[in-house]
Amino acid sequence: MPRLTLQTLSVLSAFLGEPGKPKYGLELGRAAGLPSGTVYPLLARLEKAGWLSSDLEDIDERVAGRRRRRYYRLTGDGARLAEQQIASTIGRLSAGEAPTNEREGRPQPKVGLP
Amino acid sequence: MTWALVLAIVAAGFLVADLLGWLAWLALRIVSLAARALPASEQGRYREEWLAEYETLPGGGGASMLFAVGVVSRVRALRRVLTTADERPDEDLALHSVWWAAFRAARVAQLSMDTRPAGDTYVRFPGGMRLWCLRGLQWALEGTGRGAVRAVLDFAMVCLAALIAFGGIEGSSHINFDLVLALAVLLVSAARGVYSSNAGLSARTEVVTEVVLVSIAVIVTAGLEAALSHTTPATPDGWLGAWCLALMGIGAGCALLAWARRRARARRLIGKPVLVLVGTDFSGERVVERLRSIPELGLVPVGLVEDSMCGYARHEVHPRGLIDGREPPTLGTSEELGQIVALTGVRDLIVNLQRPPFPHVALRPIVRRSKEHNLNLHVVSLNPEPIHAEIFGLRVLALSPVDPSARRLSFKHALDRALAALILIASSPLLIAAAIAVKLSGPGPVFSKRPRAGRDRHVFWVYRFRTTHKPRTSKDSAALPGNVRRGTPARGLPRSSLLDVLLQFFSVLSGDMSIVGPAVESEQFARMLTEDPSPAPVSGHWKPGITGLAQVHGVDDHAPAMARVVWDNHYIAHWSLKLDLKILVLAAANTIRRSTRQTAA
Repeated sequence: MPRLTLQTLSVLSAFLGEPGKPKYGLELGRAAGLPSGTVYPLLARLEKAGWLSSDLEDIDERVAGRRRRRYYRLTGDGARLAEQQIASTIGRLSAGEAPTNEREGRPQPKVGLP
Repeated sequence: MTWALVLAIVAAGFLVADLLGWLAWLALRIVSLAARALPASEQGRYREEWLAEYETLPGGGGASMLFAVGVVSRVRALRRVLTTADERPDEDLALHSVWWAAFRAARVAQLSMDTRPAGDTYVRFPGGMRLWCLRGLQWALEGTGRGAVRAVLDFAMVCLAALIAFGGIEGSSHINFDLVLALAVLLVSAARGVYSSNAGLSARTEVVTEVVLVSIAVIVTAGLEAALSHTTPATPDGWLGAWCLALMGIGAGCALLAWARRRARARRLIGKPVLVLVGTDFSGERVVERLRSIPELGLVPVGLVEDSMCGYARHEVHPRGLIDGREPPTLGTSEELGQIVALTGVRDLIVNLQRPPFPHVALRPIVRRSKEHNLNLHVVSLNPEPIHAEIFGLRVLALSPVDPSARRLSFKHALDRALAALILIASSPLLIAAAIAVKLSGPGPVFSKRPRAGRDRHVFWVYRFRTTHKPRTSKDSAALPGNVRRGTPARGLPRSSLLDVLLQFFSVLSGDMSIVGPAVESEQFARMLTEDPSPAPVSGHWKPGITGLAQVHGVDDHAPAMARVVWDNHYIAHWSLKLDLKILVLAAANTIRRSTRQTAA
């Protein structure tokens, strides 16, 4: 099970917003509102855990006039688990278990798994 | 003037576009380089992924640079995710050493520069440690270590440049050509003598030398690569990039060193130890005072040499004399110069010349002795009037914070010429119209010219529009009824002086004048001024200006020359680009005020 930070969850929810549509890294980062570059370690971790799969775009570079992009898609397991995790996080947040850091009163960045 | 503005805006637009293109190129290189930090098995995949996404970015350099910075900032996290226990990423030796050197240098700089000027204690180190740090700083910035520091900096910069330039080129060979290029630059520069401790070159020569040296190194290394490498050689594009970046890096390194030296001097951390001659004929105490008040000069008086045979107490030079600003001790008489030099190891002696008539004779034995003991003798003049440019073949220096041959001044001159070109282009229709009007008005040349004294009393011509008719022959003048002298149209124009000022910009363009500078004098007058000085001008090494501090203070050509000289000397002692700008604004305001008054009249 990969470590699920808020950033990871926001990337996953970007996938679930348009289910079945493959996306490339920069696009995902933008959709999740992350600074560029941050998304690649997250994707690598999720891919290693088997939640995501990635493959190169199937186009002829010369015809398209651009390089082939690497597209990521949720695996079957990944989609199920992601939905579960997001639902449980939202449930806990709305139940008042706000994951805030009490000392500084800021939202805690990492959401622990049950 | 509007034309000049439009031209300037267009030029600035091109410059910005060029810069943005450069940024995009640099971003591409950085992204490719970042992939090399990953494990070998993943490098290709991520390079491909990033380059494909780089292409989706909007044009212009800003977005791509942001992307590159973002990728680099998280590449370590990505490496951690990708690295398994048994697979360590193969560290790039050159990349690693550059990072390491940069990190160490930053630490050392932080340690040595983390100072606060409070009273006499500048550095937060315990006693002994502090002295050692200061000695190290002195060695690296002022002493024999200058060349070594410069060499290390050059090496690191060229390494970095080559890494960025070749970073993304696939199929790099097993020989590390980044390191080879850096070594080549180092060797060529050392052979040229760039790193010798007494290399004193002017900024222009230095730039030209660096360009030549780096070009040689790049050509040699590219040749080596073509000969030795069995895999695909780097593209010419990569070599061009490496050349550009290496030059920029070396320039940045030099600027960094100069900046550090100036900062350290201003904080009195380092300085060149000098001896000062005192005595009835040489008021050395004033030199000590002046050197203390301008630490940027980097000259620290550590000892006095008595000229006359009065009583004195013998002391030794204390290394802390450099830092603590103690009263310099008297070390001996000028007859004991040999012993003093042997004891202290100081190699420079400063002699102050009083205002004339100063005793040449008193100086002669000092010159002889300092030559005997291989001592560098510097003759200075503190009254803002160096009497003669040379005495006994030694240049008389004015200890002013601005050296007329310094880089900032060459920047000023370049700026002068650029501005003059813009203004001349903008006003060319006006000038051509005026020239045609003068030509049509009667016989004779369009311009009248007068000799003026320029920099180092080099004579140049100042042109004006001819205002009077010049009779070609005596017959012509006799033919004029009643000997009436009629003016040309230039005389009738309300602002003929403005036209003449515009003509002076030609002198600026040709390098004889500056836009702002000391007043321009006629040649005979300049000679008279330097020979009978009270106060004498120090403007000898300066280009005269179209306008200046004297003119904006209402001291014009009709005022006594001494008033002008006083203002000019003040200008030279306090020169900065900011002062120039201030004078320009004042001059513009004056011109506008005068013209409104004229129109009102």
